[in-house]
Amino acid sequence: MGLSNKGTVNRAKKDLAGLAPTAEIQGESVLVTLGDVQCTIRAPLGDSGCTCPAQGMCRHRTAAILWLQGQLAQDGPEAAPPPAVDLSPLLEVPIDKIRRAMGDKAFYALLFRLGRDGLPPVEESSMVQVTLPEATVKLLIPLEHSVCTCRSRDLCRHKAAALLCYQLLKGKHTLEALTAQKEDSAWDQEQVSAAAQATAELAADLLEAGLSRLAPTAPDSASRLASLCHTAGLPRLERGLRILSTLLDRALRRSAAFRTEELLGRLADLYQLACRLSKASSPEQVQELAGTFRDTYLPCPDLTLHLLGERAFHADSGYAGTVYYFWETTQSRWYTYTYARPTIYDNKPRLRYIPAPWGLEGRIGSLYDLSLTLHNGKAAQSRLSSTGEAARGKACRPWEVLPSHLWWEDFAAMFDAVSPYLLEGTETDRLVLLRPAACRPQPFDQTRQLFRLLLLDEEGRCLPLEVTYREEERELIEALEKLVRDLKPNDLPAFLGLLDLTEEGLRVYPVEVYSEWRCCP
Amino acid sequence: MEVLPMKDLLDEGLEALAGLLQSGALSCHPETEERLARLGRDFEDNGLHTGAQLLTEVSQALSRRRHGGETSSMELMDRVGPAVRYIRLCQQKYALDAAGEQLRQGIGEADDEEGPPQAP
Repeated sequence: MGLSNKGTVNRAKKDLAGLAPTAEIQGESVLVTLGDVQCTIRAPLGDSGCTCPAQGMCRHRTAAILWLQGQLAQDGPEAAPPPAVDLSPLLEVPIDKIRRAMGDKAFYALLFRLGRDGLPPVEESSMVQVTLPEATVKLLIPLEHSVCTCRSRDLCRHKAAALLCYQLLKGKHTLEALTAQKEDSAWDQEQVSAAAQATAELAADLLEAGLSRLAPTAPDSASRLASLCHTAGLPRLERGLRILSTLLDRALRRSAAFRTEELLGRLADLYQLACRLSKASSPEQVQELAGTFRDTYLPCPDLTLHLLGERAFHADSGYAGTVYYFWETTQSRWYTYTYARPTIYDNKPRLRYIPAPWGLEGRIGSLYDLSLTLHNGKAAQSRLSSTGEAARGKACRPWEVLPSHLWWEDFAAMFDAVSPYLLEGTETDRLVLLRPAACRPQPFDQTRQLFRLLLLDEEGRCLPLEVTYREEERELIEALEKLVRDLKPNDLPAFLGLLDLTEEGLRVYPVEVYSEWRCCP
Repeated sequence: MEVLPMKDLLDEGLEALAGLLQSGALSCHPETEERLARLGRDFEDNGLHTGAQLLTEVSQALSRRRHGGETSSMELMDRVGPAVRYIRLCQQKYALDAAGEQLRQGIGEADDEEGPPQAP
């Protein structure tokens, strides 16, 4: 039954009733004649053949096998019982083969699901039947004869998933050990060494020649090297080189935004990374140093999200877009959703319409002041992907969802809470809601092209809110200037901002201004 | 001997190395070499032993080059890279400590910057 299906078996039984088969032993196989067709039955049964044109296990072969079974049964109890099927070859399938068949993303997503929901039903007889949510798989010996309801003849992702479930059931692996395994990439050590060596030489040559003799082709050289690193599977080095290319371009254009110290720091970081990559002796070391092109998004439980702010970004690494900040009430933590597009090849302005993710209709901006429930969502740490289905819920205001212990009125206490994350934390670790006791506007700094607003707490501790002028920040600065003009001493807004540590001290970049926060209890 | 505040010392250290990148190690002025050697001594006096050693090594490598010694561009970068990273890490730590101190003591730019107050 594992090789065929119930309908074919029934049809074969019906055919047998009207036929008088004959059999002839031919070495290791039996030639069974069923009317006009002849079937060669051999072990394993999946290797049996038939003179009919059908590719798979046809009704003739099924009938011949059934007839032979019947003949053996008639021979009486002295006939040897059929030997138990040895399923151990299913446990010998390497885990790397299973992972390749599934793909890394699906492999780790299945591990997450198995950890959350447990193993699916597995029935073991002369075969192994695994009932997955998306397909039913019958694993047979040899494995090539296994069947899946997706009808694939190859080792499809369902068969691979079923194999994984069986191996886990039998204790060949543990979920913890598999989850802890890092993605194993096939590194071309020669290519990695060449890319790393070229990067180290580029950094050393730049220091040797100096910016005063910077070749006009230097940004392009860095960019080309970045492409080589991409091919070699070294995303961290690639990102660093793309930023280096941008900085070199600024240096050549005598841009006011260029800082030699920044370029020097970038060169030192790149050089150190390149040297460590050159010396890496194992794939694990290379993997650790190479970074990842894209984080693997894993399924997350249902989330209750509230959109509380957004900021535009234009990264030196060649991407631009908007980051949206969502507060999740069940886990009491921030999530971000990023809408980004590459600017490496095309820097033309785009339409401002950004669609809502997760199957929701309308603009993403229409999600403010609403509660959203996200099902089947995926996240990489605190970053949400666009997969999943969300539903709009009840209307609610920011102060109703953000816990009051995260509203900072004492800036010193806020610093104590956030300072561990200022140097190495993630972006959401630096997100703070400030309720200043006073605001002190500053004139726009024409020299540094800087908007400044000093926020003060009850004790007079000062935290500067700053936005450097760039084209994409123009609207934000205009909105802030209007806010400053309309400021009333007894009616101060609350600021959701990103805390940043600069050479001059702490700074806040505004993500959202809540003029109505005063309404909260 | 004039003792520079820590922040100024770190800034000057990075500035000297940035000057080296600006002019290029091939045509580095003897003054840069002397400046780095002096900064190495200043770092030592201020307890930054690792920084002192790194800056002294850069200065010595430049000196060897000037006197016809064999020091490849990679060897020089082997010394400059760690020195830059060390100073930047020190700057970050200093900035973090200074920002916390500034907030805790309630001192800040509000005291010395002009602008119409909006406090109640």
